[in-house]
Amino acid sequence: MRSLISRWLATSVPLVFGVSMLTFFLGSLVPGDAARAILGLNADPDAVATLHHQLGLDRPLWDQYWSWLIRALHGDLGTSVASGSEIWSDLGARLPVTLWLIGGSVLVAAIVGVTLGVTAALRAGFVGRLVDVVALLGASVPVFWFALLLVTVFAVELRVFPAIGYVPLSQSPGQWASSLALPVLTLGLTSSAAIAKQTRDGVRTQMQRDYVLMLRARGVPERTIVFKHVLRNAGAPVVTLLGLLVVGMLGGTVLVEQVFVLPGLGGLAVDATRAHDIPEVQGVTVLFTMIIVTVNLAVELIHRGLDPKARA
Amino acid sequence: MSAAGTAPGGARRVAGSFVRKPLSTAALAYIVVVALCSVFAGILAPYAPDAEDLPAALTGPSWAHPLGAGALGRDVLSRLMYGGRVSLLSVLISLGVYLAVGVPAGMIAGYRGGRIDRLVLRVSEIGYCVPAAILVLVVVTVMPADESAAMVVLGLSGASALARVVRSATVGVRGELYVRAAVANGIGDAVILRRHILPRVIGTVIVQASLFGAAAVGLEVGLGFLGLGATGVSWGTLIGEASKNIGNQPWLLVPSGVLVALYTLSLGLIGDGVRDSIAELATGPVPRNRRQGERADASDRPDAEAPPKATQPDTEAARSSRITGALLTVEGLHVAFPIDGVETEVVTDVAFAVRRGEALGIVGESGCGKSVAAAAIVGLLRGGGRVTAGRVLFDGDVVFDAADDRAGRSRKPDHKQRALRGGRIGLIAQDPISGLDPSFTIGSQIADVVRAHRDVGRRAARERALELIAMVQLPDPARIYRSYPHQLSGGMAQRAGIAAALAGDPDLIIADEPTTALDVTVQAEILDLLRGLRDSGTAVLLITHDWGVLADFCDRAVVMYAGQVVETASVRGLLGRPQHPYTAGLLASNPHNAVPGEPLPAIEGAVPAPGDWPRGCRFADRCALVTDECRTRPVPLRTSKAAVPGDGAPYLTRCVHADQVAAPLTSPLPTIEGRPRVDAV
Amino acid sequence: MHRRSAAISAMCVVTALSIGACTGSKAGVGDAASTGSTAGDAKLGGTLTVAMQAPAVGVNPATVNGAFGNYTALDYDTLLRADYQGKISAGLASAWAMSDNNQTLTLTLRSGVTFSDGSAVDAAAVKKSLDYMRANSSVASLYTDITSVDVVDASHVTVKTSQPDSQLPTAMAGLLGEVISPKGVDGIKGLTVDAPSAGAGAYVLDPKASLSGDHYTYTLNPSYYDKSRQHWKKIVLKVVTDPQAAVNALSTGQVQQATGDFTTAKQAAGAGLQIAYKPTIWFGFNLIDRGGEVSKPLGDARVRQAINYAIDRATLEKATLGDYGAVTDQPSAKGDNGYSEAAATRYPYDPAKAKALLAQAGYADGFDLPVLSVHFEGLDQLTEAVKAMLDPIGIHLKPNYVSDEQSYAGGSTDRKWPVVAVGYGSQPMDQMAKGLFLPTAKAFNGFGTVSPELQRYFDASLTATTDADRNAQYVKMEDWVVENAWFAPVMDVPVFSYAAKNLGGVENPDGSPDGNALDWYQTTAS
Repeated sequence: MRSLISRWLATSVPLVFGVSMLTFFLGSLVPGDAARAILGLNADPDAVATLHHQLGLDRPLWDQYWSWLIRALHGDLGTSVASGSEIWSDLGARLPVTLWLIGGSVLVAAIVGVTLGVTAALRAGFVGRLVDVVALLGASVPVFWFALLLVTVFAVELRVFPAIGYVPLSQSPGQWASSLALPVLTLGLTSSAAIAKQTRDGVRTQMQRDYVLMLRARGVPERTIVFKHVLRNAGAPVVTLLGLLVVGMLGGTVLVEQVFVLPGLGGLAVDATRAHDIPEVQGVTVLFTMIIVTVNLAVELIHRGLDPKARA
Repeated sequence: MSAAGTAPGGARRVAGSFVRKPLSTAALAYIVVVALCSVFAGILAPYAPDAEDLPAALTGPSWAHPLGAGALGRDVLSRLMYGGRVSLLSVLISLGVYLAVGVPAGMIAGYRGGRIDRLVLRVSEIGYCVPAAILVLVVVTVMPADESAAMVVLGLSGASALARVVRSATVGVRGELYVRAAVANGIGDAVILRRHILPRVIGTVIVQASLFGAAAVGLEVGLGFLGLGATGVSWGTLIGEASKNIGNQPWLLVPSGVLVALYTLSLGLIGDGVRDSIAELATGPVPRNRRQGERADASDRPDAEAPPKATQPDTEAARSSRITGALLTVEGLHVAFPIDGVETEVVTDVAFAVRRGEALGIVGESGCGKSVAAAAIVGLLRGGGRVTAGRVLFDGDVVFDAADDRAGRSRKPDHKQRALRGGRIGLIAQDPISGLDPSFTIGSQIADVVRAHRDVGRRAARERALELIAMVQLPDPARIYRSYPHQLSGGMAQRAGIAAALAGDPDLIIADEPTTALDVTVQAEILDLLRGLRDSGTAVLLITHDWGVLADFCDRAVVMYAGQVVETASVRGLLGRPQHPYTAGLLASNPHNAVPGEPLPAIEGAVPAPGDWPRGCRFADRCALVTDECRTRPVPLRTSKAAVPGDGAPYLTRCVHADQVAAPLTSPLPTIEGRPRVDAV
Repeated sequence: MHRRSAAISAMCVVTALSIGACTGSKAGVGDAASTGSTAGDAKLGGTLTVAMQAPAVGVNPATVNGAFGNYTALDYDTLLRADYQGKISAGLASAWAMSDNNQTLTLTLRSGVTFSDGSAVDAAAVKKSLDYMRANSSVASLYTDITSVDVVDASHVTVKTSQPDSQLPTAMAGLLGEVISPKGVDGIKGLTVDAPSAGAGAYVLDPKASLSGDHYTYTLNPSYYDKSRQHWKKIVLKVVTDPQAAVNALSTGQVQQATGDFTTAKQAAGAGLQIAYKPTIWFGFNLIDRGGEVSKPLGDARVRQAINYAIDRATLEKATLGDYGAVTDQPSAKGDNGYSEAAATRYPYDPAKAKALLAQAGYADGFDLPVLSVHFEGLDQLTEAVKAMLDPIGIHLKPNYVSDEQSYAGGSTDRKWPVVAVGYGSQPMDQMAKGLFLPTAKAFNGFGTVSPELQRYFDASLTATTDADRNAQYVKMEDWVVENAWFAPVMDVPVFSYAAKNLGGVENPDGSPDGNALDWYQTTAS
């Protein structure tokens, strides 16, 4: 356990560092000038130059990065160039939205995907094929298509869920759930296809294993065999895939947050890159990277829990 | 097995198998057609990509514009064709990067191992953690209106995952004989990688690449939707234009959306097809016996084999095998498996009975149907096997009757068998470790079985499991209880397996070669354990090909050959004076009877495969005593008069020339202490 | 997703705050003019949620993007107010007077008014705010003619200009006149979403209920002096960049008002929403290289006229805007004070004439013409369409598309591109002249072309003593730029305002949208 954590730290820390550096230098290539972005098109060139200097944009890049890094290490991510607000508070306000969105989607993807996958694996013939086709279609439909469909049906026509926006959990749990329903369904259902496929293959493989035959021979009920033994053994690759999906969903949130107008990190990333707001981009990137490495750690820990050999 | 020294033509065979899947082939065709339409858009498209038809702006399908017209009246069909150029090129760019980086890195890491391997793994781990979504966003902003940089980023981030997959595939191939042979022959690494390893990993690569291709299209389209992507005509910009005008002309979302969805779907299907083809190559379609072309004659052969009987078996074999008051009775058992898609019988008309407290052995070479017959008793046939005729009685009760099954009288034909499993009938696996679930402790698995058969709580089940563990003489039961299968030796695992089999207090234990996978020294211990069970009154049905085990353990034996019972007799009678040439041959090839300096006599030839069985005696082709009579018609199982006095049950044999079979063996009976074995040829 | 670019919208200054034509009353005293006719009768509504097309670039008057004026109009009251026709009325200043030479504006401040931070709105505070705004704000470049702001006494301030400027009162009704408290000016960098606002407006920004880039909540300012402008307990400005999503949110009742464009108009009508629109943003081309520096042919007025003749405006307008737009060949929209009836028919579609003019100018064989265009706001489509129309007469547009406003702004002024595709919201001529074609127009007069005639007309308008005189000068300017083809406008694009059925005050009496959220109130209509 300790070795796992130290290995994880040894990978994660330089990673966060490296990614922040990469985005910084890439970001500095974005055409345009933050000072001009702030002052507007009709701004006086002198004013632009002054602000440019005030923002430290005329200093060498490495120097700018260095001072960013020093401040970041002290827990200060600076302020947004575009809105002037604290980046920490921006991130803090938006992180829950993204986490709920991704967490909910992973849950939906796992539940729907595993159910479909097990059904497809156990039911030969029509049902199995149907599930296969549904899963394939689910994986093929573009995310925003699906999102538009859900909004049209469930928000505009049926008025079951709101079309846009996010309500914090602390404000109203009911509205919170309702505001997340469609986005979570969008991301979750489109991702569930991959889970269904993996589960189906895994369950099929496991069902052929000797221990399943022996469990039957020992009179263990079929339900126990499938839901306790087979699923547990088919679980590890599914968990790996879920981890991959979380990383993929970080990208997917950009689209979903646009359609549903959610104040998440994905939208912040888009706005910040457009606004040439490098400090904000840096903040989001660092946070994204930390989410990913945390997810990786979680996946590895779950693997340990699932596979007794890995625990030894 | 392919011969060592040559790389199996994996890729070609995978391709062959692939084209037989209609859905995957159609998907491939779709991708090709779309690609061709894009490449030849200049010739095929009805309009130039930016040709305007202002009055037709934002209209649905019409004669002039079959798929409608977008903003400025530009023809959707033509733009989809031209758009494919940009979109597919984008996909190709990212695929190119993906493959160019991922495949060599993975292959070299897997082939070389060591420091390079660690380096590649490390880098790929890092690549996997980089938030590609953000990098893509930044890159798109840095280089607006040009997706190629974003596509390169996507390719690189995907390559880290590909490298891992390729690496593990390579590690698998590296260990194989032909690769080792190539290395030993001093063939250069580059050549080995290209000639021997690449063909084997290419299938995996195609699967991954097809999934990745779908992701790349997704990115291209997603960027178009966000208005961040290419700015010329591309699928992404078309989708962007369509979603922007959804209020005025929702139709526009249809052509571009369907095109892209089908494209993604097709890539998924191609991936599935290739994966399935690889899987088929790896496992091989269940025992292959005959070429496809020959199957047609099989049905023409007059009476080649009795077709599955619809009537209740009342053959002489069945009748004479019956023992009144037997614990288990198997009558007229026919089992068929799908082989190359044709249901083929692998066990025909098998009958035997086990008395209470008796040990009955089933012996024969591999592939004779011993295990299948045993599995059929408890209804645990694998791979689509089916009992086509016959019935099984346990303790006088019919637990399975194929006639009921066929008539559909019982919706769950095996419910009685189910009830017996683990309860009154315990099963012991051949490979003890793989017979246990690797993810659960030994104790919990045994306790589960206890709870499946007794209405007891967790604690009581645990107590009972510990008792059982102690009963099979495993040391330190508490520790064993907590252990996982991989922590046990084969012998310990087999004891645990026996403990699980005993959890339901069975009257009968079916042990399918329980010692084959074990070390010699452990075998005796396990047999001792089983003997103890038998001595305490549990009947044992032991499947083995080890005469020593048989002689040592069993009261009576059934000899099977090519799906049939060829002899049933007391062990003493069988060993004393076998009536069937097959039995005699097996005994003669027993190494214990070998004369030093002389080759061990062996039965020539091999067991014919199911479906290739001769019409007459199935052993005829390998028999020294064969005459025309043997070949003309099936030989029935008959009570032998020449047999040594048995144990009250008749001596049954299936040979026309039973009288001429070799004289009684002079050598002493093989014993377990001497460890003589007749292994299957 | 087809997000409206802030830059382009910035050019369309008219969109949000409707600053109408100037009627230029020389002096006035009045109570705070209420705007909507029935506004006074309406009771206090609960929460008004308004969809905004872009996040606030800043939430104080110095940095806010003028196209999204509601971000500050709610919490920073102006010294004066202007209605949709430009009629000036009292604001924080209860009275105002222009000197006879139109160079000094004297403002009389309302007494007893305080900022939301508690300090008094007195002459010193107003001077501090105005001085800061004219020097440092995003609109500073428009007011370089102001020479000083002086405190007369605690309730009187004078604003002096270097030349006659009869439009000073109008300026005081715009961003420049949104007064920031002295504390606010001192800590201007702190005026973000994280801090309460420092204005004297009807509402106060509530930082706790706001999230930068997503939503901005304004709560009632209890000490505000004019209750008739407070129709809601709370106003939420919710950023919805996708017009589609905005219409969806309107249909589900999550927002009550949104700004839309042509792509969603049909849908909004189908959803039973109120729709107000007026074509006021001219889309077309700014032929900035009027001296022929980088494209010699463009230096010849006949070539520029030929371009205007070669564009089939009617067909193009129909194809892109359906019934919602209007063709135009001049910058001023119909109803604005520079609009010229004569100029409106100056360039009928006549390719033959275009060719003839080109031949006269010596370019019968045509030439290549580089053009800077952008990928947002449909300007790329317009460019492509016009390119197809100019090809037949031999002018081959060579478009270069950029995707971000910065590149666009840079390209407009670096003297590289002779022609720039443009969308510009029609303004009263006094503002548009300064922002679009006089040398003060930095972004839109990239080559800094100077025309003595235009300057003369403009100066005359500043010293004009009657509205009629002034407007006559404006029309002369309009006629002049059309005759000399400084631009090639194609069509006027409407800005749509969609609103829930029970929202009043969203439409001006002339049918144009009223963009000021303070004017909207709840009606009993369900």
